[in-house]
Amino acid sequence: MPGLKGRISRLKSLGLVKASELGAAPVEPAASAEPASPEAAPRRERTSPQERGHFLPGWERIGPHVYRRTADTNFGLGGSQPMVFHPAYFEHHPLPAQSQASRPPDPGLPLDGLSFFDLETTGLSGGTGTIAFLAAIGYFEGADFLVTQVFVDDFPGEPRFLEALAEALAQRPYVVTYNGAAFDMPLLRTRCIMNAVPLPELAHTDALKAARRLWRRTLGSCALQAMEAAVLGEQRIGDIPGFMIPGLWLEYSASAASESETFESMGKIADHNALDVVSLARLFLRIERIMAQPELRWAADKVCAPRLAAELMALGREAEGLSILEASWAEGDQAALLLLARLSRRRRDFDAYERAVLALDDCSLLGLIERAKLFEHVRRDAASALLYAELAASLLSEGGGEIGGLNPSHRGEALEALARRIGRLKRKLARGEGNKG
Amino acid sequence: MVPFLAGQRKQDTHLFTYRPGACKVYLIMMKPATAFLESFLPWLREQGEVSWVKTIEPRSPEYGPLPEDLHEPLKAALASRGIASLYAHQAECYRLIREGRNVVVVTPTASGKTLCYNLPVVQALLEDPAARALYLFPTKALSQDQQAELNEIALGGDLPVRIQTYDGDTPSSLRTVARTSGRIVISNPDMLHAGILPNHAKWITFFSGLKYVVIDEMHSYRGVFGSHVGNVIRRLKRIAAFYGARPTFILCSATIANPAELAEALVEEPVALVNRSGAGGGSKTVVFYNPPVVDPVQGLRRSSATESERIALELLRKGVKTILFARSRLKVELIASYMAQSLANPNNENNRIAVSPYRSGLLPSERRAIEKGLRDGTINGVVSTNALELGIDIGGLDAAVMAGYPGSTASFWQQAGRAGRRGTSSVAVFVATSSPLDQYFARHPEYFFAQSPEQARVDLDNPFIFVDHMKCAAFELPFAEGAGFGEGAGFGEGAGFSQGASIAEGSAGRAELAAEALGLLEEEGIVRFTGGRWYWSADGYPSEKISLRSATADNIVIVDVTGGGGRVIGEMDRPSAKELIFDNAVYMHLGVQYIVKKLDIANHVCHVERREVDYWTDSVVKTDIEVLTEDERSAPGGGRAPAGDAQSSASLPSWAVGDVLVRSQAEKFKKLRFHTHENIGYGEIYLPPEEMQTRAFMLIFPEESAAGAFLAALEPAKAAAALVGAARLLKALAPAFILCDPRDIGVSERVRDPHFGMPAIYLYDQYPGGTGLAEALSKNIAGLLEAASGRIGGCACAAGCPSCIGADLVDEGGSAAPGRQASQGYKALVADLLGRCASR
Repeated sequence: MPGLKGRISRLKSLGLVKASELGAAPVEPAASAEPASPEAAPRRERTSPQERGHFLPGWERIGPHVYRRTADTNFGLGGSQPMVFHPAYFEHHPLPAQSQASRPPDPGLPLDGLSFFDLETTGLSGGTGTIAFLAAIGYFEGADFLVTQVFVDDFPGEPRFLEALAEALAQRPYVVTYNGAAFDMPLLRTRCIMNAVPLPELAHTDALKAARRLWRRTLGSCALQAMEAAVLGEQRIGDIPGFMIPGLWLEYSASAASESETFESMGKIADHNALDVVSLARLFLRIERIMAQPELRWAADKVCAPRLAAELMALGREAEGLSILEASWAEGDQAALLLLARLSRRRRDFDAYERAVLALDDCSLLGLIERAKLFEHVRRDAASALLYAELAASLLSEGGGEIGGLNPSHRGEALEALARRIGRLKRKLARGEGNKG
Repeated sequence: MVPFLAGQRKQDTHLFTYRPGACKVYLIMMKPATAFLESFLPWLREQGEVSWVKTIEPRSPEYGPLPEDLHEPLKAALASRGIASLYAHQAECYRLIREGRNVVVVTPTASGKTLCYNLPVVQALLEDPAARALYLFPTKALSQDQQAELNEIALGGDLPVRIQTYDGDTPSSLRTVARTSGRIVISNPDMLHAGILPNHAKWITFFSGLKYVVIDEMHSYRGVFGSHVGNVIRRLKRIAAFYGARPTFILCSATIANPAELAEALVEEPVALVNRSGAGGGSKTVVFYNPPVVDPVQGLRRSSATESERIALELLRKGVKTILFARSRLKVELIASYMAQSLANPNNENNRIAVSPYRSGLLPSERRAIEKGLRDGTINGVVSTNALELGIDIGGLDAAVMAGYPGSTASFWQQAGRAGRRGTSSVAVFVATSSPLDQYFARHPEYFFAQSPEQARVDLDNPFIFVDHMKCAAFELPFAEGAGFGEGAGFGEGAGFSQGASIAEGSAGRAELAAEALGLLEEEGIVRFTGGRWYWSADGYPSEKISLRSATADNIVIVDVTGGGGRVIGEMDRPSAKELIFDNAVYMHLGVQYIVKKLDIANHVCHVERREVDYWTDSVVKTDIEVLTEDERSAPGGGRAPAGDAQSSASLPSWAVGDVLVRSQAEKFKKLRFHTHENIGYGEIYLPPEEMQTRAFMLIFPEESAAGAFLAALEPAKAAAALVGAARLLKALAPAFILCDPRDIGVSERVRDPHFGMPAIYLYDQYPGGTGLAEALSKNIAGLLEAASGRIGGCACAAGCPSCIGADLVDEGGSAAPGRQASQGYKALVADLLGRCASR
C-alpha cells in the first residue's frame, strides 16, 4: 500500500503515538508541530549493551547475567520445635455431615524436605510478558534456616536463571509459597515453558490459603507483611514497597553498568525477597504450632475461633474444636456460639443446642432468628417462636442490617425467609398445633 | 392529508416487471406467500407506495453424498439428527478442508453453514487425539448458541470431543478444563486478544495441537474491528508457530462483494472460496415500501421509523411475530416505547402482545431474558439494532420490518433472513427513509438481487492498530532482530519452542514496519533491545488497555443517580459520549428517559437522572481539517493511470489520498419534540474538541477540469453551496460501494482549500489512522460520482430534499435562510457540478 512507510514516524512527530490513549487529552494545536520528515530519526545500529559482569558483594556469577548467593539467617529452630510438618494442616477440609471417629495421628513429614519459595517479577498482573528476575529458596539445614537466592540482571540470562532455579528446587520434594497457587507457581511454569527449561515435579502448598482460613475474619488483610505485624510481631524497617520493585529492576536492567544507586535498590530488593521467605517459614511454623496445640495458641495468635474449630472438627479433633468454641463463647464471641449451636443440633445434643441459642445476644438479628427456630422446632412453642420471628423481621426492616454479621446483600433473602417462617407459625397457631407452652 | 401522487404510484408498480437472472418476480396477487400476506399487502398499499414486491421462490436443495472416510460414530451422530447426505457446498467445504486448504464459505442464513466446518473439524479431532480447534464468533451470545449446537452433534452421538466455551462469563473452575482438555474451544476475538494469547503458556496443550481456526460471521470483521482482528490473527499465528502448529483457517461470511479478498486480508494466506449454496429455502416475500410524500415540493416523506412502527403494529395485531430493525439505539428505544404506548390497553392486557427493545448497551442478563422471551413466545415483537442480526437464536419469526437501509446488502439479507428461519414462508418489509441511499435503492431493486456490490475493507497496517498489537505481540513473545509481524512472519525455519528458543523466528513479513514500531515503543520505554531480541520491558498488561471494538479504550460508564443511588446502566465510547450524552442531553435506556446531569470525561463517568420530558436531543458538530501528507495523487484528470480516452478524462476533477488531522467539536444541541420532531430549542455544549489523525480521500477541482472551471466562475457563496450538496450526496451514497456505515465516513469541504489552493471535498475515515476506506474510495470514485449525478438528476424534488442533497441546509442557516428561489438554484448548482464530475 503506498504511503505506508513513515506513517508510524509521522504519528510520533505529532505526538500521537499511543493509539490507546489517542485523544485522551486534546493535543496542542497542530500549528506548533513541526512537519517533521519521516527520515528525522535515522535508524541506529542496534547493539546489545555490554554485560555488567558483576553484582553485589557476596553474589557469585554462575553464568551470563545470572548470580547466586546462599546466606544463613538469624532465624532457626528452637529446641522445642518438632522437626516435622503436617500437610493436612494446610489443606481445607469441609466439615463432615456426621461426626467422625478420630483419625489416626498424622506422624508428619521432615521439615528439611521443604523449600520456602518466593519470586520477584517485572509485573504483578501476570501474563507471558512478565518475567521473574529474583527468587529466594529458604530451607532448613539442621536447626539453621538458609536462603539461596538467584538473580538475573537482564533478559538474555533468563534461561540460565530458570535452570539454576529448577536445580535448587529439585533438592527438596515440597514447595511452600505465599500466594504461589495464583501467582508464583503459574508464572514459573510459564517462564519454563517459554524458555524450554524442564521443571521438576514438586508438591506445592500455598500457606496463604491456610492463613486466610485462620485469620481473614479477625485480621482482614492476610498479606504477608500484615501477618508479620499482627501474628509474628515483626516490623520491617527500610523495606522497599512491593509495587516499586518491577520498575526498579526494569530500570536497572536497562541502565549503564556504572550507576551505583540502582545497585543499592537491587540490594534492598534482594533483602526484601530473603525476608519474605524467612517470614513465610516463620508463619508456616506458627500455623503448625497452632494446629498442634490449638487450645493453647488460638487466643494469643488472634485466630478466628469458629474457623479453627471447624478445621479441627473436620480433622476429627472434635473435643479440641468444642473446647475452643466454648472458650471463645466465654469471651462473648457470637459467631462461636452460633457454630456451637449448629454443631450441637447436628449432633442432636439438644441441651447443648438450647444452651448455646439462649446464650446468643437476644437483641441481635441472628440471636432472634435462632431463638425462633429453637422455639418452633425444639420447644414446639409456636407463639414464642412467632414473637421472636416478628422481632427479627422488624429489626431487619428497620435497617439493623449489620447486626449479627448479616451480609447486607442477603437482607432480601433473610426477609423472605422470615416472612415464610412467620406465615407458617401463624398457620400452626391457627390450627392449634405446636403449642405446648 | 397525504398528497396522492397517482402517476408516481402507478409508475412504481411497473417496477414489478423487472426480472433478474435467478429469481422470478411475481405480482403479489398471483402468488400469495402466506395467508396473512393476502390482507397485509393490500393494507400496505393503502398506506403509501409499495414500490416493488418480489417473491423469492422456494429453492430445492442440491445434495452430495456423505464423505466416505467419515468416522462411524460421526455418521451415527449425523443420522441421529436425520442427516443422511450433505448439501453440495458442505461436501465441497469438506473436501477442500481435508486437503488442508483455507476456505471461506459464503452462504445465506439457514443453509447449514455450521456443518461446513463442524464436519471436517470433528472428523479430524476424532482421527488425532492431540488435535484442537478454535472457533471464533464476534459476540459472546453467539458462542453460547454455537456450543449448544455442537454439543448436540458431538454428544448426541457420544463423540469423545470436549467442547468448551471460553469467554468472559466462563467460571474459573471451567477455564482450566478448557485450557487443558477442550478439544474445541469456542471464544471471541476479544477474549483471544486479552485472555488467551497473553497467557499462551497456560494453553500449551491447546496451541501445540491447534489444527483449525474457524472464524464465523467474517463479514463483521471489517473496518476498525476487522483491522484489529486481523492483527489478533497475526498474533495467533505467531503463537501457534511458537508451539509448532500451523492451523488451517475456515471462514464463514454473509454475502459481500469480496469474500475471498477479505478472508485473505484477514488471515494473510491464500483462501479457497465456496460460494454456491446447495441449501433450499422457504419462500420469502420482499416488499419495498416508500412512505408517502407529505411535501412534494421539498420531497419530504413521512418518517421511516413512524411508518415501520405502524407496519409492525399491524403485523403484531394480526398475530404475526415481528422483528423491527432500527438504525440506532436511540431509535430502537423510541420506537419500542411508542409501540408499547399504542398497544397499551389495561382492559385486555395489551392484547397479550409484548414488545421489547433490544440493543447493545443493555446488560447481558437483560439481553438473555429478551432472547428467551422471543424463543418461548412471551415476547411477540422486538425492536432491535443490528445486534440481533447475527445468528443469536431467537426462534422463528414471521416478519421482519427494516426501518431504513441497514448499511449493507449483507445486513439487509441477514435482517430479512430473521423472518422465516425454519424454512417457512415469510415477509420482509423494507421501509425507505428519505436518505439518498434509500431512495437510490427504491429505484434500483436490482441492487439487492445482483451480485453484492460492496467491498469489505480492512487495513491491518493502520499505524495505531499495528502499534497497539506490536505491544501485545512483544508482551507475548520477544521479537528477534529483523523479525516481522504479519504476512508470512513466524513460518520460517520451524517453530521456536520445539527448538528450545524463546522466540518465533520467521521470515521478514512487514519487517520494516515492525522495526519502525519497535523503535517507537523503545522510545516510550516499553520494549528493550538486548541480546539480539526485543523484550517487553514494562510493568502492566497491554491488551487490557486496547479495545478491539472502539476507537478509544476509555469508555464512559453511565450511572443512574436518581434518588441518590448509583446504578450502572450502560457504557459508551468517549467520542460518541461527547455527541450523545453531553450535559442536559436526553438519554434513553429500555424505554426510560434520563437527563444527563454531568458528563465527567476525566473520570469516565456520566451521571444521569430519570426524568420524563417530551423531547429528545441531537448535537451539532463542527469539524476542521488539516492535510498532513499526500501519499497518492491521481494523474491529472482523475484517472489512476490515464488510459483510453485521455481527452475527456482530463476534464475530470483530481483526487489525492493521504493523512489528515481532523478536529471536531460538539458546540450546541437541538431539542426535538417527540412524535413531531419539531425543534423546540437549543442548548450549549461545553466539551473539549476531539482530535484525530486519519486517512482521507480528497476530491480536488483544478481550474483545468470542467467542474473546477464551473466552480471558479461562481461567486464563493454559491460555490460553497454546490460543494456542500455534492459532499453530502457522496457521503450518503458511498456505502453502496464500500462496506461501511455512513457514520464511518466524515465529510468536509472548502471553496479555497489552503493546502491545495483550489476547491476540495474531503471524505475521511472516522477511525484514527484509517481502516482502508480512503483507499477504497479512490478505487470506486468514478462509480460513486456517476451514482451521485444520477441520484440528483432523478430526484423529483424541486429544490433539494433529504433524498438527494438535503433540505435542512435551507432552514438550518438561521436568519439568512434563503428563500425557495435561492434553494432552487442550490439544487441546480449541485446537479451542474456533479454532472461535470461524472465521466458519462
